[in-house]
Formats: sequence, structure tokens, C-alpha cells
Amino acid sequence: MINDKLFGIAMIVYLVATLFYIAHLVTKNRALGLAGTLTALGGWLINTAAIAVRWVETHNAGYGYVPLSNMYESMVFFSWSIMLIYLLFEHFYGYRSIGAFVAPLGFLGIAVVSLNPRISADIQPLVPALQSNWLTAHVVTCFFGYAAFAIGFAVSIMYLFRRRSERRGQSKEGGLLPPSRVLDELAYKAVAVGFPLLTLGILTGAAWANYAWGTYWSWDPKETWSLITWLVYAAYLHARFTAGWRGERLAWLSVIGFGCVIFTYWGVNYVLSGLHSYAG
Amino acid sequence: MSKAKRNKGPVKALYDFLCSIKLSIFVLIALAATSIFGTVIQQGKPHGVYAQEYGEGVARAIEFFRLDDMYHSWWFQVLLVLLLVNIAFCSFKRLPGAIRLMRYKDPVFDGKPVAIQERCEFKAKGVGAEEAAERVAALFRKKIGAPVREDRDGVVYLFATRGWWSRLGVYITHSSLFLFAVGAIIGAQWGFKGFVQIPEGESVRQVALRSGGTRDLGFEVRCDKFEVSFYTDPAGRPTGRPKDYVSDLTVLENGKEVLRKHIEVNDPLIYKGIYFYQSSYGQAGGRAAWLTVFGPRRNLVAHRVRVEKGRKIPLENGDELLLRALAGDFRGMGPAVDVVVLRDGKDVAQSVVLQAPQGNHRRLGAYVVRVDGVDSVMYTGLQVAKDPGVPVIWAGCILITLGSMVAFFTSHRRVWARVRPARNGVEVFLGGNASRNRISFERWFEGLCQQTREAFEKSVTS
Repeated sequence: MINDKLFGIAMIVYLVATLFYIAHLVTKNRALGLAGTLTALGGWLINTAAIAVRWVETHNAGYGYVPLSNMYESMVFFSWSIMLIYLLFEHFYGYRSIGAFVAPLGFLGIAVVSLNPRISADIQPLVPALQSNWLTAHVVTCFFGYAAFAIGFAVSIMYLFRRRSERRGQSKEGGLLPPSRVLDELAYKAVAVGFPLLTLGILTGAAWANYAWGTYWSWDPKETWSLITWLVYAAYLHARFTAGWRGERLAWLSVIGFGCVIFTYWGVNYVLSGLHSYAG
Repeated sequence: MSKAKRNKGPVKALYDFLCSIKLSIFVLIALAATSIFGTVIQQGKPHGVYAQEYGEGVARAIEFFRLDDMYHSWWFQVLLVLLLVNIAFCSFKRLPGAIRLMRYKDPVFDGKPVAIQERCEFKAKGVGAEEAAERVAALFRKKIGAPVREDRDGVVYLFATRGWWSRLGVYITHSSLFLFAVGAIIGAQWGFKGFVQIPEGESVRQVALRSGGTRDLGFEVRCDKFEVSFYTDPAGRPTGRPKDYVSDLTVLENGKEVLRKHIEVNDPLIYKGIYFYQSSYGQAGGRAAWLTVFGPRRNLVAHRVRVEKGRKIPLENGDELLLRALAGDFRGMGPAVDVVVLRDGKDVAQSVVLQAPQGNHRRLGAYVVRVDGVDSVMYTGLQVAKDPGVPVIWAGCILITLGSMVAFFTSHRRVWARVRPARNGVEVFLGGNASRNRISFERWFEGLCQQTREAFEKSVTS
């Protein structure tokens, strides 16, 4: 298969982008930052091509499905979504230093499944439960949401580092990382993008469940954990909008929220069991 | 804590508690945290399961706190209701203010409690206040909307607003949660969820409910055929991975066929608001078997004879072989039959014979029996559900989607202008605020200022 080799190349390119971004972060050299962006974009294009090739290969294998059906396919799509949303963020807000914290997530997404012998990269035909157009809508919305939360997580981690150095007497401007008030704002932006997408992800899941199983909500662990994630981010948004929370408390809430995302995605498959167990 | 807070009455205190954002955050976090229990502890199992897994004491505690069915427990429902009550009170408290802001049209901002987030000021020479105001108004009309004007002591005030409806986003979003609650209650009151197994060729009128008991459908559903198909690899060999579970169903009203449908996973049968979902399948026993029997002298008595269940075939000397029962899958070992040799109508030998090759030949008295094949019957397992609350749930889904799009990605922008006559010209002031997305508003406002300056291009001095 060609697709997994392409994913491997994308993974390495993401690693190179990470190194450029880190070099840019440390040296503040604009050329290195631009190199980071261009490599990240290049990696994302290869990632896109890999997904397209895999799609074609499913057809060649005689099964023909949108490649979003198992752990391998969803993780490489996760990397793709993270990098896409990050590049848009960079385009709109222009803080390249965030790349040093997000690009490694893009790298990890592919690395975790490519280098783990227990996760198969084989093209396997869809089991009957997954043969639905809802699958695409559900997975795409969920993972765009997860990707935005991943960026919120990376920025919140940066915020926590930045606050620590500011408390140690560093000035509020200058320094390696962007000022904390900027990071606070950007983390919120990421969550504000992720939240409606997660909402849509849950709704498409409910619609599909109703169509396939006759019940839109059955409190199975995957559903419940997606709701837990949703509730944590809802608390984040209300704390910020209405209660006026800022700063570290909020940053920790974003970190916890992303922990919930990861548990919804991985923990439920490997730690708990439920209706989604076939997706492992 | 001020004195005023300590002195307020209990009703006011309760009201403040129910509208407080702290309560919202507390309930959200509490719902998230407690929900974890139900994903770790198995739900809806009998006492023994918990006692075995956690020990008697912990099992009692689990049942005391209703953690064995926690999403339906009274305390979880209280949290859900508290969230709705909190939202209702918050909305009640905030909506009047929001409506006031939506309808706000006062151009005169001097000395008023108006939060101006962005501002810019410049002087223009060689232009009168009236003409300057007209230029600004024209720009407002183009970029925002028709401005409201007020003149006061020769000073012209203008006000324009765009996207007032953006402030409704949050109320639309929150109202969806009430629809979810209403939809869930309707479903619980007037809906049902059940399960039924129908062997091929048979029909049912009643389904077993998940909550216990049965329910009459008011019509009959017949399973004409059930089939599993498997994927083949590119070379055309079977892979053993199931491709489709398909049931051919027929709906009968008073014995008359009214609807036929080929259902599979992700494609249910819908009749009179009742959904039938493909959910499982299995062997429902057999119809007939093909048997080969050898006599005492190893002579062939019967060769691949089809025998219906419960029927007999003649052997030698008046002996008979009865096919008493058969199974498509006997204890996981494949197809099998239960056969009896009868002499003068009495049992002389009896055995369960598995189909070749596992079972191969089996001795029964003087005879040897071989099973060549079993004509088995499948049953289809169907989830049966009716939920009249679903349209309300969908309405909630639409509202929460639209509402959150409006709440997160649009904003109510308000812009004021003041044109004041000055020496040789005018002083122009622009100010604005936005309900959301201040960063993009900042950029937009800068553009507005830029264009306003350009409108006075030749006459701007500073």
C-alpha cells in the first residue's frame, strides 16, 4: 500500500516542522518561523494526499469506503485536522510560536498509530454497523472539534509556562512565549471554535444512533464521555464569558477538557467497553 | 460580604442563588464528574454482579446511591433539573437587559454609561458640521446600517448598529436544552423500546419490552428470510468478515400484506411510527436433515435422504428411524440431529449425531447413521422502538446548532459618531463596541476609521 508510506512521510515532515518551530521560538528568527510554516503546510498536503490515496486504495481493494472507520484512519485524520486548524489559526492570528507546541501533536497523532504494531494499517471492509453516510459527518465534526481543543490545550500549556515565568519576575512583554493575555485569548478562541463542532459531532452521533439503533441516547460510555467533555468545555465557556474567570484556573480547565477528549477517544476504547468497541 | 447581602430576605437569597453563574458552573462540573461513575460501574445489572465484582459492602453502597442505574437516579435528575432551572432564572434575569441593548438607539453617548471599546478622533478643515455629518452618515449607511441622528447645541450625534439578533444566540442555544428535556419526557411517557426474535417464515404481533412486559403492535410482522453475506477479497475468496445482515420483512394487517421491506443495519423498517432495526440473528433450529444410514451388514439402507423434523424413514426388518430434533448449531459444534431407532414402535437406540466431518458416523444399535446436511432455519433479532419525542429532539438539535453559531461567530456591533464644529472645520469622533469577538471588531473598526478619514481626505488635518 502506498498510503501508509505517505503517512510516514507526513509524520517525518511534521517532525521537521516541529524542529523549525522550536528553533524559531528560541531564536525569534523569522526565516526559521517561515520554514516551520512551509514545512507544516507541506506535511499537511502530504497528509491530505495520503488520505486521498487511501480512499482510492479502498476502492481498489473492492470495499470502497471513506477512510475514517478505525483507529488508524481516525488518528491520521486527527493529525490532519490538528494541522489544518492550526494553520488557519496561524494565518488569522499570526503567532508562530504556538507551532512549537501544536506541530508535535500532529507528529504524535501519526506516530502513535504507525509505530504501534498492535494497530493495523490494513484496509478492512466496513462492518455493517459502520455502513452509513452518517459516519463521515460524525467523524469529521468530532475530529475538527477535537483538533480545535488540541490547539486550546497546547496554548493553555504555553500559558501555564508563561505565567510561571511571569511570576518569577519576567516582564509581561517580550520573552520566548507570547504574553499571557494573548495566550489566554487564543486558548479561548480555540475552545470557542471546538465547542460548536463537538456539539455537532454529538448531534450527528445521536442522529445516527437513532437511525441505526432506534435510540438517540443510550448512556453508553462513549456517549457519556463525549457529554462529559462537552460539559467541561461548557463550564469553561461560561466561566469565561459570564463569570469572568481568566488565567490559570481557566487554563487548567482547558487542560482537563483535553484530557476528557483523549479519554473519550482512547480511554473508552481501551479502558472501558461499549457500543463503539468495534472502532478500536 | 457587605451588610446588604447578609440582610436580604430568604426569597431574594434563593432567587440570587438560582440565577448565579456559580451555580451553573457547579452543576456543569458536577454533572461531568458524577457521569464518570456510570461509565466505570456497569449499569442495570442484578445485585449479584456487583457483589461478585466489588464485595457485598460496596455493592450495597452502589445500590444505595443508585449508581447501578445512575443516569435515571433521583439525584442525577435533580442535577439536570437544577441546570434547567438555573438557565431559566438566568435568562429571566438577563433577557430584559439584552432586549434593551438590542433596541438601544440613543446617539448621544456623552455622559452616558456606554462602554466604548474602540475609538478614534480627527479634525477636518474646510467643512461644515452639516456636511461632515452627512458624509459620516453616508458611510454608516454603507458599512453598518441606517444611522439615527440627534442634534444638540450644534453638535451632531449619529448611531448605527448591526447584528442586534446576535444577542439572541445564547437564548436560542439555551432554549434547545428545554426541548431536549421535553423530547426525552415525551419519549419516556409515550414511547417504548422492545425486542423480538422472528424465525424465518413466522410472524409476530407482540414484542418484549426492555422495561419488562410485552406490547401488542396492532399488526403483524413476518420474517420471510434472513441472510448474512460476507466480504470477498479481490481474488473473490470469502474473508469471513460480515458485509450485511439482511432481513426480508412483511407487515400484515388482518392477515393482509401491506408493506414489504428489505432491512439491514442502518436501514430500518418504519411502519405507523414504529421502527424495526436489524440487531441480531441466530439459528432457530432446523426443518429437515439429509441422512445416510448403513445396515447391519454395512449395506446402504438410505442414501442422502431428506427427512423432515419429526418424520420417520423405514429401515430393515420393520425398524424405523425417527428424526426427533435437529439444531443448526449444537453446543458450538455445528449442525446436529437427534435420532432414534424404533423397533415395533419402541426406542431401542438413540443418539445425537453431528454433521460430517466433525461427527461423521455414529453407531445406533445395528445401524450407522451419517448426517450429510441440515436444512436449518434462521431467526432475525429486531430492536423495536417508538419514540414520539424524536421530532422535538431534532428541533432542539437545530436550535442548538443555529444558536451556538450565532452566539459564537456573530456579534452585535454598535458605532457612535460625534461631529462637533471647530475652528475652520469640524472635530469627528467615532466610538464603538461589540458584544463578542473583540479582536475582529478591533480590526473592522480600524477599517471604518480609515474610511471615514478618507471621506474627509483633503480636509483632514490631524
